[in-house]
Amino acid sequence: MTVSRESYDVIVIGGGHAGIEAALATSRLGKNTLLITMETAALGRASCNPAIGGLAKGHLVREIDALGGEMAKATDHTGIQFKMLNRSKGRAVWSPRAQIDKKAYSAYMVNTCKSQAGLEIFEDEATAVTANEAGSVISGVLTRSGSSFKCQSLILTNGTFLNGLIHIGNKSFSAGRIGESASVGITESLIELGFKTGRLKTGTPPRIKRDSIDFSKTTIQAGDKNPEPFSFSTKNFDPPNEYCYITNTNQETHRIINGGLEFSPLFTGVIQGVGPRYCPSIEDKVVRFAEKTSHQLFLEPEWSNADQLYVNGFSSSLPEEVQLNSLRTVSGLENVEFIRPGYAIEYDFFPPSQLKATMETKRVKGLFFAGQINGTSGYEEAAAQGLIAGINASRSIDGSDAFVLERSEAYIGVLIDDLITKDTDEPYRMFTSRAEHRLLLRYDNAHFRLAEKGFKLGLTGQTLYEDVENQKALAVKTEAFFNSTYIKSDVINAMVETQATVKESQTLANILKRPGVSVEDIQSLLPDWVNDLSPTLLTLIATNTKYAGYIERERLQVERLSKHQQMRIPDAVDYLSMQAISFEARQKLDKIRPETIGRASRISGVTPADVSLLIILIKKNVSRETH
Amino acid sequence: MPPFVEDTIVAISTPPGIGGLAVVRISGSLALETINQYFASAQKLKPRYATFGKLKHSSLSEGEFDDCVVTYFKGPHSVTGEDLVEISIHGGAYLQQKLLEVLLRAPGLRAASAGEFTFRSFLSGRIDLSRAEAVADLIHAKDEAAHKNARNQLLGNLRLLVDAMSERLIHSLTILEAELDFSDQEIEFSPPQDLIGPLSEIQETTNSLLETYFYGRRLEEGIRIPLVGAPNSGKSSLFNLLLGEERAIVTAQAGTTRDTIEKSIVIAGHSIVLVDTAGLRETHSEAELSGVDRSLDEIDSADLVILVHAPDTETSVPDELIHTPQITVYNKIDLVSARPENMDIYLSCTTGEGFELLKKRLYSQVVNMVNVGVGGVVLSRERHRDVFIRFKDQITVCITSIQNQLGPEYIASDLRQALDILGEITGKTTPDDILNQIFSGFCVGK
Ligand SMILES: Cc1cc2nc3c(=O)[nH]c(=O)nc-3n(C[C@H](O)[C@H](O)[C@H](O)COP(=O)(O)OP(=O)(O)OC[C@H]3O[C@@H](n4cnc5c(N)ncnc54)[C@H](O)[C@@H]3O)c2cc1C
Ligand SMILES: Nc1nc2c(ncn2[C@@H]2O[C@H](COP(=O)(O)OP(=O)(O)OP(=O)(O)O)[C@@H](O)[C@H]2O)c(=O)[nH]1
Ligand SMILES: [Mg+2]
Repeated sequence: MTVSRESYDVIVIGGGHAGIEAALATSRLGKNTLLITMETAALGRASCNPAIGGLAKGHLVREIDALGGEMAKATDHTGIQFKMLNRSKGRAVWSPRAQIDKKAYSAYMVNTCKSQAGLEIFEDEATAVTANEAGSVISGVLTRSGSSFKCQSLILTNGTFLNGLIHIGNKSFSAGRIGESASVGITESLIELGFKTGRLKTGTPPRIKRDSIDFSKTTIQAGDKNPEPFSFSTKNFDPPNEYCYITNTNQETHRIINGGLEFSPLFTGVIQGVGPRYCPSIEDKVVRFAEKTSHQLFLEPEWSNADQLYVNGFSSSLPEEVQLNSLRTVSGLENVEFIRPGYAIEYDFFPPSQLKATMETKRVKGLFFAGQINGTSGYEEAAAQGLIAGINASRSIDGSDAFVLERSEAYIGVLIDDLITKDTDEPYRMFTSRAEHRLLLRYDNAHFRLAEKGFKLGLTGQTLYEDVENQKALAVKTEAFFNSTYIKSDVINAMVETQATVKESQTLANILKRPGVSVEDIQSLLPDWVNDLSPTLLTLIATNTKYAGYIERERLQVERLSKHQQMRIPDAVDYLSMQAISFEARQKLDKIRPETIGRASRISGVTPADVSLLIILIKKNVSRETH
Repeated sequence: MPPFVEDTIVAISTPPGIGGLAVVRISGSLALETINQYFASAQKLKPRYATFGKLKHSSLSEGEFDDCVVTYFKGPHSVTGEDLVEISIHGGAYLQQKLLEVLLRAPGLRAASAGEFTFRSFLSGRIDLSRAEAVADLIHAKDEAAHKNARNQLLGNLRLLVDAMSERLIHSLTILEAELDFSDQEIEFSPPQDLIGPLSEIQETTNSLLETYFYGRRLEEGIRIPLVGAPNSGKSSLFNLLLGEERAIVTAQAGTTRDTIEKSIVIAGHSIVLVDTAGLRETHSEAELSGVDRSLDEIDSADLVILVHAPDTETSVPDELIHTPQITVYNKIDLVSARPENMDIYLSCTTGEGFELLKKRLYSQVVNMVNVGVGGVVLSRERHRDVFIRFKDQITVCITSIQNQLGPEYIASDLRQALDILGEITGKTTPDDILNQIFSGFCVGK
């Protein structure tokens, strides 16, 4: 593959989920962009499970869509089963999930990237980043084949590839993921520039042959009958609904796994990197929860009508024969055959406290990190970071101000704020419980929250934006109608028998607020123009009305967050000399060097008293300097 | 203190050493609105003017705050840079405290934390930079005290109790959060109804804790022990003996002590305020008469009274004493050989006989008084009490939400709110605390 020039506005290294969103964003924002990746056909490849979305992750995908990213559209186009999780609970925690056709997903992304104006793809391995002499401004990259490129912004999205090391039993070998070589050189050149690095670990289960499975011994699991699409722009949504299958491990399975532990690199200490507690390997589960006699397994097709299935729940780095023998004790898998065994991979990451909220490194201007390289795990987390890095890489070239989402505005805001202020050494995954303003950040209002921002940035299309604005206006009108329309008490009392009777007439809003009453229950009270709203919009409005008290409380909390949250801390502030602040807080602050008072206050070990003192000391220093 | 710099705060801010007059300040956007609900005056409040009037409210007894002065400063022209109201009242610690409690019940107000008024003054640029360090010291000192100060064993116990309460709450929250974040996994979640039991228990503990407040206040301010008796019975002599210094004037003349004198000592690690009072008798001297009145007031607010009898004086026990715990002392035993019965202690201030017994008696009485409360915890700070009242109300909200069968995400929001309130004492609970609990308690992850 040839490229047209030696110098680009933006270069993105790595065509994974982060790299794709980054490269699409910068080129769509008018920046000449080069995407260097090891294998073009592997663009958007899903390294692990064939699914996008899920609890909290589904929120991220919707937000990416609202901001003009690609992940939601790709999922709608290539999904083979869609399901709304948490449907039995309130709207705030519903979360869409899809099984995708991995091959089609990757092909969709290859096609999208190739046809994107302003984006060139170059198949090669980047081996070093280059900077100015002081090491303070990025200048470009060098590649394995000997090319060298210049750029103003460089976005690194190397995923699990940096010095990747795969483990299967007591065998280990260098790789970026199975069948692909590791990336060597980037880490070393970053260390030279002064970056700190660490090691993490993740794992994946075996892939098995369809015709070796006895499906009659498993439970079929289908998706929703009338699924909702991820993207706001997807119309006439009618995706396939292919099956997944559920089966269970048993005590015999666990006995064999226990017998193989002496060959497990996890338990013998060969693996040094820290793995995610929320994605434990099967051997981890068997050991840590010894009292559980069975664990659920999901058999998921990797693509449409796939001859290859993914054994969700059975991630492992045990020797291949231990994996196989234990799996053969599972109902339906008595004669199972592997396409390949599960494995664990260790890789380099860069603790994200080295980043600003824009995803730019604090150390080197023009250098951005996004995705697994920041210690996250998951496609959605990677894509969200890629999008924000792309937006800011482009804006920094223009000299525009930073684009930062607050914790109260988006899960993406929570994700990035957590990354740069927490100093955890475990792979980071999104959970709804991480969002303190969870009731405001619903998956169904993602576009209401963010489409305008995306449109102003220049990424979200005009049509989508106008659609969203129209719906917003309708919602406001309908909510006002609910609040101002009174229904006579005898009508109400006749309707809902299980409820306590009312004496006076009530607004529609108040009726909706009663425990157990949903908008479906009061349809007969609503005029046609309300009943004719799309079910999705009507449910959104009903949720806003029903839980107005909660929503208002969270909104007030956000407002109460002081203006000092935004107060900037000068880069050069000398924490260690601030004797008044507790020793622990001084050290933490010095390590993380938060950009704002708000972030300082979220660092663990920094107390409110410390923050007050910090404000005082900063104000004092600032005014000294200006004298 | 931040992030909530936008709250309206209230505190007693009487400069030390000014007895009789007390100033309570309210600062923040709700200051004016709040005072207008309590203040009755012929004039309307005008910025920078002192206005006379009375405080009237259903929660205040008639006539309690009849003459007070309210001064209103409109932000930014106030020391804090915000709307500020100063209420000056006559009266001692009891009335100040009462007013503060009433104001804290007003919607949206909360007790100021250490150094918070000064901190706001600093933020608004109303105090100069040279004082910034002093503020820093103040905040720092108070913060340290909360952790370290040995005298504040009570506070240490409080932290333990609050930690235990938050732990139980986090446990409840964990169950809900696990269900929200891991509902796609095969975990049996107990229904929210199961949380009502533990929540009610937490609420009961909170109630008991709140009941210790009045008492805790006294512990904090010092347990008041006045010496009461007829003129010339030797009250001042005993007062000096207990202090170990010649603080009060002692003469052979009855009616020597006219005004009350108080002085703090430490018994069993607790601060005690000993009060020497004027002898009780019928009198026509105006000065002595008002002294007697003060003695009776002292009995009113006493935690324990030392009632001093002597052979050469006649003691009439005042009615006020009936309900007050007391130690009866028969003084001047060196003068007589016959002793009346039913006295607790027989003493001579001159020879020192019986003094050790009196000290022992005092010691055990104090220890008994202090050993009340919940798990050794007595609420003694208004700020803490304010926190626990809001906490209790929030737990009620949680229970109601569960009873109304709201979704777990809403109940979780209510519980988080409750935890945030407790966090004002122990520090905030973070999502990681909850996730850690989930990971250690449930087998999650595929
Ligand atoms: C074995 C395994 C198990 C996993 N298990 C889970 C799991 O259980 N749960 C979960 O949520 N997530 C899991 N993941 C993580 C998930 O795959 C990643 O989080 C996600 O793909 C990260 O996206 P990314 O864009 O950062 O990087 P990746 O998707 O890894 O993409 C990196 C891309 O960069 C390219 N590249 C790397 N270095 C260079 C270079 N020097 N030059 C040119 N191109 C380069 C690669 O070719 C690749 O295309 C797993 C990943 C692996 C490999
Ligand atoms: N012999 C003898 N005299 C005592 C004793 N205690 C006090 N006195 C004397 O009694 C007189 C009165 O003592 P005070 O201590 O002034 O008595 P008081 O109760 O404070 O008196 P008023 O202040 O006037 O109410 C003084 O002359 C003391 O010296 C005692 O134990 N024995
Ligand atoms: Mg006297």
